[in-house]
Amino acid sequence: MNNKSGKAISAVVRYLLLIAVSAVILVPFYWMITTSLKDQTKVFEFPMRILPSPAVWGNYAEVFEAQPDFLLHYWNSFYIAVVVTVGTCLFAAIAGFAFAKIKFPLRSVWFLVLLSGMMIPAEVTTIPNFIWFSKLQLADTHFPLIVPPMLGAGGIFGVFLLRQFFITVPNELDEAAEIDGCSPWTTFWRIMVPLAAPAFATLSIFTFLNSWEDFLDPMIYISSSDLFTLPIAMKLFTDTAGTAWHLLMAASVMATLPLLLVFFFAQRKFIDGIATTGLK
Amino acid sequence: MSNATSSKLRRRNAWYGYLFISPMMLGFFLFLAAPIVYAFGLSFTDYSLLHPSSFVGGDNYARLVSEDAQFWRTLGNTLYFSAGLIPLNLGLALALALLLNQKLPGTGFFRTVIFTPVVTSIVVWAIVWKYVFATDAGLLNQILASLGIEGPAWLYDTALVMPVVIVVSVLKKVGMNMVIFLAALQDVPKMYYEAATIDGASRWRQFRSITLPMITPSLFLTLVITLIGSLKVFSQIAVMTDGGPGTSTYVLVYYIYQLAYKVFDFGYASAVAFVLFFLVLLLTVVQWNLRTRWVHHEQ
Amino acid sequence: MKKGLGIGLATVLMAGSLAGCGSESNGKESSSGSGAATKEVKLKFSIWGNDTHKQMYETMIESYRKDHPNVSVEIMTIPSADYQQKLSVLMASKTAPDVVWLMERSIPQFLEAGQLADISSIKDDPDYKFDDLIPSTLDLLTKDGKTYGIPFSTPPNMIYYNKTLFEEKGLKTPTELYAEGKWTYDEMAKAAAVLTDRSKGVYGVNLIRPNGWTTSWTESLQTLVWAFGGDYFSADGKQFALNTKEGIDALQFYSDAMFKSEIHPKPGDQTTFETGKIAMQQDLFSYMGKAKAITDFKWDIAPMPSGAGGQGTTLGYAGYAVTKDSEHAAEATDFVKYLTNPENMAVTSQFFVPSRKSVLESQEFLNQGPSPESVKTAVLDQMASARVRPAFQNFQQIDEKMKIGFDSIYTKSKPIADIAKDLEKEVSPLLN
Repeated sequence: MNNKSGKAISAVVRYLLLIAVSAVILVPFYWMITTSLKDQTKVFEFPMRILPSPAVWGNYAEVFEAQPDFLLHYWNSFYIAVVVTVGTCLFAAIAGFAFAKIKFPLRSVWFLVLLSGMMIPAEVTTIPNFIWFSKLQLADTHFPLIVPPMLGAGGIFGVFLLRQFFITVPNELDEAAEIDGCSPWTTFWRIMVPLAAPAFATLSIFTFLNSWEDFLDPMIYISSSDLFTLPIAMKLFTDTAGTAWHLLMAASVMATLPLLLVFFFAQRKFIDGIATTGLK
Repeated sequence: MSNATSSKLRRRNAWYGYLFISPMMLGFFLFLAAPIVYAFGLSFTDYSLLHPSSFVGGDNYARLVSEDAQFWRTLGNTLYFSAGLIPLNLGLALALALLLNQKLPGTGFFRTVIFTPVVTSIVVWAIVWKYVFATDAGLLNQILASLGIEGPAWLYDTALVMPVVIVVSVLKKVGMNMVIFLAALQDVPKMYYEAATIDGASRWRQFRSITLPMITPSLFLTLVITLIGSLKVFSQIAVMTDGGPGTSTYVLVYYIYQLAYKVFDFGYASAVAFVLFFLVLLLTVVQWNLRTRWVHHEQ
Repeated sequence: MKKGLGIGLATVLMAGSLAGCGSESNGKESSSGSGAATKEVKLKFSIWGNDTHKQMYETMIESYRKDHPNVSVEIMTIPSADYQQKLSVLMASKTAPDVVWLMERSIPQFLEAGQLADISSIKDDPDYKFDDLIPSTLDLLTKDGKTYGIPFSTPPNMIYYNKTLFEEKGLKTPTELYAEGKWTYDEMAKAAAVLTDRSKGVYGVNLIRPNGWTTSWTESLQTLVWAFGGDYFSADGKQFALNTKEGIDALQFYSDAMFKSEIHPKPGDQTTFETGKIAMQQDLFSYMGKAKAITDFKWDIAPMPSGAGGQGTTLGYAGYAVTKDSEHAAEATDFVKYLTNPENMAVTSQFFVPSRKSVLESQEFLNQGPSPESVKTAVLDQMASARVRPAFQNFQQIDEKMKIGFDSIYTKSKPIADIAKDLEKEVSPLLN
């Protein structure tokens, strides 16, 4: 194994395996993009072409004609994910800070109580939550998509993650601040928050992704199409006359692209964040 | 510091402590604790949105155990999904991590590609794959047709449909576990391998005696988390198969969804939801035990 | 300073999230504002239609507001697949729209549960010409002589066929066969066998409506079962009736078309008529809009073929109703009356087969299709014999079982006779 040709062969095998897996993963992206550029009547062309010809870029504009609310759905998804992310970071951080740095009675008891929430699957709580939100006439609103994820299981994960982080901050730092007369809030806001940037980055990624691709909650809660988020808005491209595949794929490309671009530009931080804080 | 100021400080800190944890505690009680208690209560009623409800004792659980063949099929399908997903996902993730752990040209590119599905919405991912697996017009069957093979109706074949859903789910998340394994691999001190190489240990031997023991904590924690996630599978099923054909891909969350929001049988749906709750509870307890043991082991 | 900023941020965050959601008011604040000369009324109107339908209604609402400046109507779109389910939820939480579209299968559930308002007063106005509404179309929305809604779309199903393909093969078209009285399922299968060309991906016949594989039993196959002389349920809805020779024959015909003669697309196939790859397609009148965009080939429409039990033509069904908890029932009723008056039903007939005789028989409506003759043959002449598909109170449960049973046809997991037998066992307990 240690001779040169052996190394060359193992490198070739290595690359072949990687290329095979990557190719399979790129298949849906290829199919999504090519279909989004096909003429409606050519969507089921048989035999298929490798690349659509001519490429119908107008499909992208047509998405907004066929679904004038598409931009609104986009906005709904975006603002909900942003609010959930910012809210989770804020509330998880103050709680995580309190559990890590402030001494108060029954601290560890409360922490354990809160942690027990992590073993409750959100799927099990949807039924009571749904009944209550319906009674409060909050069912067909964005409230259930924002507040329970922020202060429920997702938020608790954030508390856990940030508490772990704050514990690693040397006590001398906040003790010194306390002696200087800083209130816990000032210590938190001026000393801890800037230090926690990497932990916030990781938590934001998880939270944003979860909210962005949430399917079950909007399926359950949202009735009116103007309140739809992107995942459930996709079904509007299917009606009793069939599915407009070319438009559905164009919409899918548009729904996927921004996140992909952000990822491509920030992938080092993205992946490192998940790798270092994800599970340890 | 005098005693008086110190006790004043303590009181102030206690006040701040409770203030800071209050939003999360409130959320915990409102959106997790109270619902779980209420759901437990509901599971002993025939509560429905459409008519008044009454207490039915353990009827829902009796129905679950002895009358509802569909529930057992659903549970079986869920476990089938997990059993298929776990080895594929973890095996592939580990293999990819090992392949990418060496600094070779192009590894950055492959890592990016394999991670891309993680940042793609699961619904979009499932929609496109459904279309790839479509019977006649689907990409896969078109490719097979060009080779002279008539492809099967992938999503309308009781034997093929679950493997298809499993593969699609593995590809979506494999990048996440790969990255975690990569990080674990990079934490293994290089000198161990150097020493082993000097001793003449083979690659396989090095993997078994150094790599595997060193990454075991990551491996097991990833396993439990992926397993819990797989028990809660919903989106790809709802998008790709609607539980079908027949009941071949009915899984727990999909069944709960059907019971609760299609036929509004909230009472029975809550009983089924509690099965999921206990499964997850069990796994979480296992995970915590493992975690404390390994933290200890690492020290 | 920074402290204030932090708390301020949190407050803004919470307020922002709340303001972003609670926009649904259902006109409550306006109704409580008393003292004004004309009360501002905000109606909500739910549809499962697409954007072109929405635009049509918006134009109609605009002209309605000229006479009723105090009434505004907000259109709420709910996708058809979830429509009944979502409406049930909204009704239970008392946030249902004031005016709703209803499809036949959901009407018994809402009517029996007392969720619909009595709008019989609509008949009183002679200008409304209530008698013009085809009486049989009113049955489903009538209970104890009271009217609970007005149908606006009653389309019989029909065959869209690719005339160019028929000409290429030198075959008699369904229209010609129908005129000769020979338009049967056997003839259809024969023609389909000639028209099928697997090398080009062309199928002779597709009974499944677009995107209809999961809803096939009710949406697409009821007509076949009726045509073969069978039925899913007894007339009173208390017995499962498919496990008969006729019922099994119908399903066997369908299964053979897919898997034996292979003249019918396979399960999960998404090929549509407008691609030119389907020679004969079963669909409703509502498909006309899409068909009219076809430029690559000639097409026409024909009635459904007949079998041992006749043609078995089904009548699609959708109506407007007013929900019982509406706080503006009078205004909502008036709006339904406006939507279904002769002029407006003529407007909606660009998409929907009208339930008014005068509109149905008008030249404008006949001109909607490929030719007035075909519309007359395939739509008007079928109205008398076409039947509305049955609907029951617990349709959702029955639907689920039927769906699962029909999937066994697609997966070929059991013989047809066993499928019918097992369905009887599963579905009978749900019928009562």
